[in-house]
Amino acid sequence: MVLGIILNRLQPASFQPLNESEMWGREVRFEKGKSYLIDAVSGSGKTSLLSFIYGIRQDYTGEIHLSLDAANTSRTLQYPLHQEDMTSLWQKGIAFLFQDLRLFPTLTAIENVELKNQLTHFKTQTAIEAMFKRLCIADKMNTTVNRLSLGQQQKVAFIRALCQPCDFLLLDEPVSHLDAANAGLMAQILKEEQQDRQFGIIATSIGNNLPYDYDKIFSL
Amino acid sequence: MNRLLWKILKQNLNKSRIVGFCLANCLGLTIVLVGIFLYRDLSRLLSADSGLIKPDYVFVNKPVSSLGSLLAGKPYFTEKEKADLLGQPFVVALGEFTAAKYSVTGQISVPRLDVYLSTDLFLESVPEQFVDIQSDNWHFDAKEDIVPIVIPKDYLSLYNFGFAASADLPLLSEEMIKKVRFELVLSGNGLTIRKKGRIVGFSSRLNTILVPESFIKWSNGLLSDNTDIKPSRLILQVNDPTDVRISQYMTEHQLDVDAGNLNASKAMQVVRLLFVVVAVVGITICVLAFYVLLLSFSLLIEKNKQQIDNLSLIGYSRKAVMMPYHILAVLITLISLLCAVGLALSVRMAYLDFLSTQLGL
Repeated sequence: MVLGIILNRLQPASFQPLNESEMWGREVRFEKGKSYLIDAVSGSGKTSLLSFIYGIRQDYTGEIHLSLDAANTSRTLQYPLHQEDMTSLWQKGIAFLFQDLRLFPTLTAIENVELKNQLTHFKTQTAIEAMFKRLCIADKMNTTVNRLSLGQQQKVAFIRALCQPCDFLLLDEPVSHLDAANAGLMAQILKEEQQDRQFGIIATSIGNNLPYDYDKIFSL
Repeated sequence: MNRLLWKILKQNLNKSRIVGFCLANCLGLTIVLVGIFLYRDLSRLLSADSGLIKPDYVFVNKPVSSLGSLLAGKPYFTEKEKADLLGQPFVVALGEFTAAKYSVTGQISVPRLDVYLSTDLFLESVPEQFVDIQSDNWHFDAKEDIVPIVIPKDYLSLYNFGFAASADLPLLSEEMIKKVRFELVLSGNGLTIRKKGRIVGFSSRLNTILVPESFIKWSNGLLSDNTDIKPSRLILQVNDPTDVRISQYMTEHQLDVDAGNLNASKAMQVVRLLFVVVAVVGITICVLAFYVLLLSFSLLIEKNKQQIDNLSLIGYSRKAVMMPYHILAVLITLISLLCAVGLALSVRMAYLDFLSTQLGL
C-alpha cells in the first residue's frame, strides 16, 4: 500500500467551489515522498482544504483517508479522530506551516522553535541554529516574535515545522511575505530535508510560488 | 513543568484574583479547622476522661405527681423497665434502693443529763458496689449488736451551717458524730428488735439514711411479711454522664433524674449545635472561594484560548496544556490550606491558653 493521503469526493460544506476544480468532488491521491502545489485564486478554499487534511475543521462532505507511517502503521485513519490520535498525528504524522503562522508572540524566535522541538526531540540545538543562520535570521534568535517582521516570522514558523518528524508537510502560502532570494533559501533547505526524510509536500500558492520541483500542480 | 509552556500559559494570570482566592479559602478553612479543634477540645473537656467529669452515678425515679400518687399505683420500677435500663449502652451497672419495710425509731438517752430524744427514722440500702464509703466498720452481722449507718454529708452541713448557727448550738464534726451511739428500735410483724446504731461515714453521693444491704435483708425477713419489694428509686452507674443519650432516654421514658452532671450532656449538645453552625459557615466560605477560583481559571483559559489552540495545533496534548493550570490550582490550594492550618493552630493555642489561665481548665 502506498502511504499517502486520499481525498474522496471532498466538498466543502460552507462555500461553493469553482466548477473546473481539479480537487473538489474528485478522487485525489497525495503520495508520500512527492511534492504537490495547489495553485488557486484567493478565496477558492485552499486554506480550508489544508485545514480539512490537518483535521482542524470537519465542515465538508466526502472522505479523507490517511495512511501514514509515523502516525499509525496498522490502519487508515479517517476523521473525526480521537483526541490521542489527533495529538499523535500533529506530533508525528503531518507538519503544518500555517498561513497565519500561529507563533507565540511573547516568546523569542528560538523559544518558539524549542517549544515544538521539546515535544518531538527531532532536531539538535546545532541543527536548529544552523537553519536560523541559513535563513539569515541568526541575529533574531533571541528577539521576541512580536518584534519580527512578517517575513522573519514566516522563516521561524518554517523552521518550527521542520522540527517535526512527518509523512507530509503542509505549507500554506509559505513565501507570501518573502522575496525570491529568501524563497530560494527556503526551497533549498526544504529540498535537502525532503531528500533526507522522504516526506510528501503539499504547498499552496496564490501566485507567489515557492520555487520547487513539483511532481504535480493542481488548480483548485 | 515545561518552562516555555508556562511562559505562554501564565499570560493574563490575574494575581489579585489568585490572592483573593487564597485569602478567602484560607479564612474558610481556618473557620472549619478552628471549629473542629474547638469541638474536639471541648468534647474532651466535657467528656468522662477529663477529670472534670468522672464516670458517675445517676439516680432515677418515677415522677411523683399529685394526681398520680392518689390514683395510679405507687411509682415502682417493674422488672421489665429495669431490664430495659440495664440494656442501654450508657449504663454500666444498676442498683436498687431497698427500703426497710417496718417502723424504725432512733433514740438517744443520756440519763446523767436527763436527756431522752427519740425520732422516727427510715432506712435504705443499695448494693455494696455503689456505696462510696471506705470503712472497716461497714458490715453487718446478725450476731452483733452494732448496725453501721451512713448519712448524707448534706445532713451534717444542714445542721452545722443552718440549724446550729441560728439556734446557737455547738458545731459537730464528722469525728464527733461517729462517736455517738444511739438506739435503733425496729418493730413490725409483732416483733421488736433493739440494735445499737453507729454512724460510720458520710456520703456525698447517696441521699438517704443508708445501712448495709445484708442488714436490710435480715431485718425485712424478720419484721415484714411483704416479700415482693419493688424499688422506687434506682442508682445507675454510667460511663459518661455527658452522654446525650442519657437525657434523651430519661425524657423519653418520663423519668426523674437527679444528677447535676447531666447538665454537661446538655452543654455538649449545645457545643455540637454550635459546631455545626460554625462548620456550615466555614464550608460555605470555602465553597464560594473555590467558585471564585473556578471562575478565575475559566476566565484565564478563555483569555488564553488562542494560545491554547495554537499549542494543541503544534502537537501539545490537552492534558499537557492543562497540566500547568492543574499544578497551579493544587499549589495555591495547598498554600491556603497550610496558612489555614497555621492560623487555626495559633487560634487554638490562644484559646487553650485562655481556658487554662482564665477558667483553670
